[in-house]
Amino acid sequence: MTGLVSKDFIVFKKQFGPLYRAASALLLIAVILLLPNDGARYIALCLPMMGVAVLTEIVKAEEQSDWKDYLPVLPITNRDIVLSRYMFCALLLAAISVISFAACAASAAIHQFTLADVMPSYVLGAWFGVLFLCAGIPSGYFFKNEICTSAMMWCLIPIGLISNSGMGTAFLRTGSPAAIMMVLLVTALMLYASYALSLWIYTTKRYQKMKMRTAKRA
Amino acid sequence: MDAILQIDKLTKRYPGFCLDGLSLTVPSGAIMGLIGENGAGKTTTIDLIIHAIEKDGGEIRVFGKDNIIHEKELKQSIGMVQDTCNLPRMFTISDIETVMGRIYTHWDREQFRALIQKFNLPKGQEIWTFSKGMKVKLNFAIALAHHSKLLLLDEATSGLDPVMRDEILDLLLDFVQDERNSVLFSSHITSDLEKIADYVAFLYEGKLLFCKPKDELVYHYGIVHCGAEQFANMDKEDIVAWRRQDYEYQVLVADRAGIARKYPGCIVDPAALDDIMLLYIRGERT
Repeated sequence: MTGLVSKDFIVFKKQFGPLYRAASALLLIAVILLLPNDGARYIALCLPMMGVAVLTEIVKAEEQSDWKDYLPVLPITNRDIVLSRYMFCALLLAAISVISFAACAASAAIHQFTLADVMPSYVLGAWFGVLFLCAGIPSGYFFKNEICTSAMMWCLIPIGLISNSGMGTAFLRTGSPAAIMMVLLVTALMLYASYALSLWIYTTKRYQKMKMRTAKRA
Repeated sequence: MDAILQIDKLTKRYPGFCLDGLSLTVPSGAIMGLIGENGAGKTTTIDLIIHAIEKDGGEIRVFGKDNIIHEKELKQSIGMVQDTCNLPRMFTISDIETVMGRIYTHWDREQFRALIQKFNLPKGQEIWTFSKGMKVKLNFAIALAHHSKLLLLDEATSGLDPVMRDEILDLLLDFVQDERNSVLFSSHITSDLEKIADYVAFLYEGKLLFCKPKDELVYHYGIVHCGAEQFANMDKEDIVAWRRQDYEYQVLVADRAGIARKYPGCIVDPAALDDIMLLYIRGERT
């Protein structure tokens, strides 16, 4: 499974080369410096989603090379294949959350506000990232790359509603253990449902696709 | 001699195609050629062995173990070479080394590097820049670098030039040298199989027509060229398949020397695998 996670990281590194990463870093710095009040909030809310959206590039690269046709050759189960994709996204999300936290801390230090003010947005942003991941991975297995992007975009509707109503941050601002437990429970359920769906889609489509390919050759 | 691969009554149905109760045994230390026209079921057989598709019936055992129950474990010892390369386009050889090293338990970095050097593959270039031949060589390097014991080749040499093909055939002979490894080699290029195969299995419309030692086919089978009268006088038991050409009858026989003695007026030529395949498919069988 670690082999597949490394494969995704290599594809990610190649798809988003040094120039892209430098441009992203510059943009992040500009947002921190130029948006004194809302910059940290924007970063906290949007960065995890933007990070997880790179998943579509991984799906695209796999489509281009017909990687799915190569997978049956390897000593890995369907479960390993799907789980490795979640592991990659989780690691990516964790790395982005660290960057997002550092950016928020820098913004708080520069514009002199407390980090606690941004924390609800930060937690909410990470949760939006998980929501993107939960929608993106199964749709990546079910649809082609373009529709996978579109499925992720659909997540913006509930995200926008939660974000604009201020419900999410208000809920998190209570800081009660019950609220935190509820967020964790919902997240775990979402992830499990998404994983089960992805595994079902992948297993079903794998044999269908190979069947079509073999029937075509036959 | 132990069998590395045993296929028993294997069945797979598609609309318009049926792999019909295929039974085949590949002994250890042997190279088995799988021949047949397009759509005969060669790729389907290989896809079923690696469980890329689901079978409708029958059993496949690799090293004595069921190929589905022990799929993950068995694939550590199976190398597969196709005529295409479905690795991510932007990967370099170093990237492949990193990924495969974490997927295969017995990945041999040194052997992989030695094969890459032997095949003259550029380490720093991305795969999409490789020629078809280079991609096939890369597939071979991956298949051999994890100490596989069973190699499955699906039209692997069809895109290679004769020099490269010869190099690969030598590699396959080395691979089976120690009598513990085997190769199942599906190919249209029967001359390759004539050079290296120990057994030849002939699939026709999803059915196994025969599976025989290659030497028996090459040394004993023959083509009788005769006229209508001589053909009419031939014993039907002596004829495997036959076809009528413009000026002669071509008759496939299983005992070339015996037939030459029995019918002294006929010309009996040795039969190449291509001739055997052609007469079985295009000719009539008794």
